[in-house]
Amino acid sequence: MYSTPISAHDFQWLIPHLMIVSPNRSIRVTSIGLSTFTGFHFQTENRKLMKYLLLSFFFISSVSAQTVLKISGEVTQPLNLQANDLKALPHVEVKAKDRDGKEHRYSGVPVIELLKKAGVTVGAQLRGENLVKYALVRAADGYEVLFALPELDPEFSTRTIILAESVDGTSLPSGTGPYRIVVPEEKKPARWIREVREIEIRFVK
Amino acid sequence: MIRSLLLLLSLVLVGIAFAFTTNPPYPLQIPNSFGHRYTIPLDNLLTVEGVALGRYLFYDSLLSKNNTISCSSCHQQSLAFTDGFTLSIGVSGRPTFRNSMSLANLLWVRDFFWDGHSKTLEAQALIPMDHPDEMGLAPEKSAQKLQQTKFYPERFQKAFGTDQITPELMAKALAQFERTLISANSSYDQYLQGKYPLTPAEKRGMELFMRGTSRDQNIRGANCAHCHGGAQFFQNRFHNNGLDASPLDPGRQEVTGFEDDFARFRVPTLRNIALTAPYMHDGRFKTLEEVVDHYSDHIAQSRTLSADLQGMISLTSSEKKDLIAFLHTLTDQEFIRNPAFSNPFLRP
Repeated sequence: MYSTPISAHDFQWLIPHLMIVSPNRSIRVTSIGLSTFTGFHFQTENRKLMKYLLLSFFFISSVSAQTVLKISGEVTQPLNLQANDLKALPHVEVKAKDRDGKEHRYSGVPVIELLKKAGVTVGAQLRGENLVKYALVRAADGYEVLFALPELDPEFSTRTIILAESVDGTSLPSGTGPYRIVVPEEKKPARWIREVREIEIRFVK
Repeated sequence: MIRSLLLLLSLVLVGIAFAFTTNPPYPLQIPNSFGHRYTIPLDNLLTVEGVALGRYLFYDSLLSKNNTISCSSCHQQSLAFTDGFTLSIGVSGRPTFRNSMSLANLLWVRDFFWDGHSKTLEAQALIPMDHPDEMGLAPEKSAQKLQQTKFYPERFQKAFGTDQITPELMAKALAQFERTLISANSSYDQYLQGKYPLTPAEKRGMELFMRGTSRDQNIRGANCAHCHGGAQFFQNRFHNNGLDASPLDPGRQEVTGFEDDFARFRVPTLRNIALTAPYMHDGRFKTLEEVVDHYSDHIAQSRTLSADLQGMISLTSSEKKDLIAFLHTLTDQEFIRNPAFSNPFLRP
């Protein structure tokens, strides 16, 4: 009974007047949220409480249910990752100098972990024609940068390129985050692409 | 001897017949500096007949509900394929939602419209036809209208091998024509080729345009090229350029659903910018002076304001004049006079 997806339309009455929700963003109440409802009887006296609970779940689920990172292309497992999926992946901290010339601590997921999860040919498979594959990273605004796969693979490279989500212990600010590529030791931060939304793995044609 | 002559003659005849029955590929001239990062769909390669048909359709008001509006009504060649209006007026008499965009160098554009809601020119072409405030006629109905003419069925036959007119084929022909609209011969291009000497003001303007400010080295720059750089003077990007503290138009957000995309719009080309007033997605600025004043002095802070526009320097009045002088060098007289892009119905 509770496992059917709930559409944005069902929540229309909960949406604050000025909040814009696109129809193509699917909102699915998570199983964690719904387990709380077990045992509830949908009776009139409970409606008010229900609305209140739904309201709070709406905000939680609308944040967590959005695909925040898409990994596609030459992968065995295309991924549409949500914020929680990224949180669950191994994190590391790297030190690197931003455009301000100062060293900062960046924490995030090594890009190699994302590639492994998507089934990209890294590690022992990164040989032969796979050496001419690349990762095209695309930001919210359309900005794109490219990394050859060996740049991202610890079997080739000594530096760890990460998808950072925090700097010096705080979340990346709006306009930079929620995710930004950080390339330690790179002299010019042009590939430190902000607001990352997509990684596409391609073969050179 | 006679036998070989006959053979030669028959070969020539076959050759002539072949030339008359086939539809040769359209010879597209790609400027080297623009590069080849573009996509032409494999099922809609450019042909001479396809481009010619697209050009007729582009200029034909039969495609509108009341036979008054064609694509060219809001995309006039003399204005680098814009219309000079803040918002455009279509068949309904009501204004469009946003300002008419220039059609120069669409071959390199990846997401069409101010909010990027069309991925291909083929998909884009049908949208203004159908829109009640633009051409106001469903493409299926337009196709029926064209089918009933004497003129079009044979042209579709030549271009696509069928005289059955469909919206899909109309869109394909229009897209073919639009892909040929390449503007790459402005005074600035001629300057790069050593054929046009920039005036001192244009040169100073170019330097301001191209470089960022470096306080350590005491260099002043407007850094326009950061977003409007490269040979095409645009990038396939979407930014909130600080027009309002509380923007009304959600822009790109309506397409992606991301709140971070609120009030972001396409970064348009600056080629022929002196011809494409008024400016911005809502056509609010009438002159380049107003545009430059905006970036120099009136950037409005808001949640999604582009990080690239934080901390812009305020330009002096002579710097603004220099910058505008440079922007005028991006006008391509050949593009706006090219007979291949003009109204084919007006041909003598």
